[in-house]
Amino acid sequence: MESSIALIIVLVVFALSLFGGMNISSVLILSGMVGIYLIVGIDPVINLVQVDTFSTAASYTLTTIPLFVLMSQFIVKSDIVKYLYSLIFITSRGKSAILGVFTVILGGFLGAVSGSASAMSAALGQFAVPELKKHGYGETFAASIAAAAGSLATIIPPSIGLIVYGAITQTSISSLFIGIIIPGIITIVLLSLIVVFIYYKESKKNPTQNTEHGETKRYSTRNYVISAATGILIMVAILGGIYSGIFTPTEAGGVGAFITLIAALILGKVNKEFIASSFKETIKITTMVMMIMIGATIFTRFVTLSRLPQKLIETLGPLLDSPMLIMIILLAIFFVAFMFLEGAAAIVMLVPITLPLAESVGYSPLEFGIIMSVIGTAGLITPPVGISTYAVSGVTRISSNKIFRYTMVYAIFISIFGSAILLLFPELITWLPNSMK
Amino acid sequence: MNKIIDRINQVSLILSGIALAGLMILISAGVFTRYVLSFSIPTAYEIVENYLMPIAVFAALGYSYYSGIFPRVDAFTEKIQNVKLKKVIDGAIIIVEFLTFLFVSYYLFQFSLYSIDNGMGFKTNGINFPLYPVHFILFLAFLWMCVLILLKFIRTIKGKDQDQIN
Amino acid sequence: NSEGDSEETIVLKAGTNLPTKHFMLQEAIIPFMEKVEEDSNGRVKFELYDSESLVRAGEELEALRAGTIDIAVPMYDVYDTARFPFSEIPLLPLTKASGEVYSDAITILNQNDEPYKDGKTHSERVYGDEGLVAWPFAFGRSYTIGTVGEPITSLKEFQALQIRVPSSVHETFANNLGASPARISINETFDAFNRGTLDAGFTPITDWTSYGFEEVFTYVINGIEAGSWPSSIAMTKEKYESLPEDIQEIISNAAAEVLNLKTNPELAEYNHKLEEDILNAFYENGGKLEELNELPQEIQDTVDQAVGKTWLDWIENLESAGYPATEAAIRWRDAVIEAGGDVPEVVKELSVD
Ligand code: NA
Ligand code: NA
Repeated sequence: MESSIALIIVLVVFALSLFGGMNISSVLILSGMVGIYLIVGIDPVINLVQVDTFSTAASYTLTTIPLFVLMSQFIVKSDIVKYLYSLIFITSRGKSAILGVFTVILGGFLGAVSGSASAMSAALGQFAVPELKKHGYGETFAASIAAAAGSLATIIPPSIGLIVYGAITQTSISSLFIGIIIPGIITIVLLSLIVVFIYYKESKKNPTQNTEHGETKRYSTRNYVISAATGILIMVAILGGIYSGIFTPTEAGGVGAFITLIAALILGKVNKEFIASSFKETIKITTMVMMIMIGATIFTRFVTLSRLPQKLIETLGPLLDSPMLIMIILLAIFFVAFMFLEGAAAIVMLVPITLPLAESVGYSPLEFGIIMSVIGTAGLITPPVGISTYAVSGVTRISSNKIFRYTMVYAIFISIFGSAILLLFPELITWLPNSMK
Repeated sequence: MNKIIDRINQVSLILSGIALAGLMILISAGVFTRYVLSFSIPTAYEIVENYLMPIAVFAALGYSYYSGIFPRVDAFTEKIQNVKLKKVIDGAIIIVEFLTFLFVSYYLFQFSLYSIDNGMGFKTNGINFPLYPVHFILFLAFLWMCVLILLKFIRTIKGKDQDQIN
Repeated sequence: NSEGDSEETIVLKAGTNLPTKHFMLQEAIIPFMEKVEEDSNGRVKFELYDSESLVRAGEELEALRAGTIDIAVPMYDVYDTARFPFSEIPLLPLTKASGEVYSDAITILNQNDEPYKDGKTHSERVYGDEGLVAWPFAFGRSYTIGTVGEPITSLKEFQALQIRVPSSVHETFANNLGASPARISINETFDAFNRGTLDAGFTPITDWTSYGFEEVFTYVINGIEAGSWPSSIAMTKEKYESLPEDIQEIISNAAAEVLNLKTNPELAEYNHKLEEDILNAFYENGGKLEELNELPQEIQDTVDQAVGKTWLDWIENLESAGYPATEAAIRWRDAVIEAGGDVPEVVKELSVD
């Protein structure tokens, strides 16, 4: 069949099933299969379904997904986060606006030990939202801060999105991890600015709410010391282990989970329930993420067979003289894709199509991958598929639609200013990796 | 009925959990032996890739699906006021999803037979490791998901979609 | 559908794992396809799907059978050792080799029409049994040991190396050398060398740029001939035989000619130039290359013994699984020697009794 007709049919199937409420992974598998069938027939559909389901999962590199999620579960369930959180609130008493910023920075630090935004957002939702509320933040606003702060886990290394990007583009994962440090900090700063801005705007609107400072629950000093020490130790062990070459970033998942489990054992948190619920949550999240990746793989096969990438390149070809315009269009495409798709899926699907274009206008795979990651972080808090927002909504029982009203603003703000800064000054990305060589 | 479902889910979770624990232990042990004892565990890499990862990811597929964690876009269907229309749309979507995975399951079954016939596997250190057991687990996992999707369909029709397992 | 519709363009979907810019794709595969298109006066056209966009390395067989692709450029039967046990033969270490030796020896081995004891020829046994028509090739220089440490001065230092191994034959070889083999995903090897997670790896010099190894390796031993990576252009018999006979011949001739260094001097020259450029970059970074025969005798003896032992281990593993591996090894040995390479005494003594 003519691939443009196939494309239209697939788009219809995709839209109907997506907006009809089918699971994203199923939408991708179904429309990918339909598309491959229309272009090359049933046998390749069967072949790709048989081979891609197994092979997508049979990957050493992707062990980071279950293992970093498992580590996050261990960290959250051993209350390390809870005590650290309370400690920060107590030491910064008085200035409520600063507390939102603290939450964002804490999200960044937690992101350094975890690659799972949904796990981190859920954790922050549980501990930060009640505390922020006590200090004069509106409930929904507090929830939106937790969602956005948790989403930083994908941009602060270790980052699953970057590992996936590195694997499909043959870009050095260490360069990506180092290169994203400054953009990660820029993202944290941007997010902090918008949070402070909204805080003051809301406090003008509703002055009484912000003056009622409640009491923060205090825990024993021993709890604070132990949890702070454990948190720092875990972070140092993982970053130090990767940096000094004891293990690879992939192996860091396994080692991280293992030492966190040992830490939890020493803290006396481990019992049957701890193990069972950590494993159960991890398995659920892993299956979900991997099914989306499988769907994306099959859907990408269709996109490849349809030769859409080549056509897109031809269409955008006349614009090649204005690199900035090409980049803005590409990033806009990513923004929309990240609205609807899980991050890794959008990367797997779009990068092979878009990277050649970005390269042809002078951006390296390193620069492109990192600018795209900033947009990807925003995608975790945009409707309709905003995993971080959903995670916070789940633990706080606040309607996700309400939270999206805030997080959508953050996402647009981060995407526009973050990518503008990095497009204009790509040295912010390349400087660190180059100077470390 | 519910007891049987719970039991099967439990078995699948245990299987997946063993693979997950295996991943953590084998990778950590590998780092230890390499860094401290200067040797790598033979075949560990292949076992992680071909056995532990797929089993950890897929064994509990049905359970994960049924837990409702798979993200989807419900902003549009939620706006539909007409209860009957909403039920029809929900039902239709679930049936299409069921048929999709029935197709996938059937061909994964064929593939596990093909895998046995063809001796698919990998060979390291002179040992042949077959892949058909993992291919067969994949088939069972997708089949079990189909059964749970069908169950969800029945619940949707009866209007009981709210109480999902956790 | 043979001579009758010869006016119609035959479109072949070609699948490869190779990234768009990889030299093997640019210098060998694309010239092969261009030659077929040219020789057939445009009756054959290839649609190339690169970078694993349609089929992953090692999964070509199922993709060919299902018609997802029509031709694998290349097929990596060596990733599928359970079904292609003899695909590993060119990975067996030698004592003297070069890209030309491998390239020629592979042709000799696969053109050998003398049947094995069980009545099948080599190529029937390896490809025919799987319903394939294939043109195997390996023109890469040997895998050699690159390290990120100081120059090796003793056997003890040599055996203390933790070496990344790309295949199970290399794993056996590393064990026989008394060193420690390690598996690490290829995407992580640069980092692993950079940070010293591993201190050495088996790699062909011509592969370095793909992974940035010329930036991290500091010391390389030249003259350890740890095999050449084999692959093949492959189609299903069914698809191949559905083509007009003259087209079959055009494809077969193009594959034989373009992928052999002897008949494709441009490729040979490119190979040498590539190696030279990479080594220059390596030297500029302060790298040191040392010949095996300049190392202490104890190291040379250990390597020689390990080469022989690796052949014997490989044969024993496959024989015990019921494959005529001795016969196959002898054929490869003879082909290598005929092509100008060499093997240790113990391999020369091999015979079928
Ligand atoms: Na992270
Ligand atoms: Na989104």
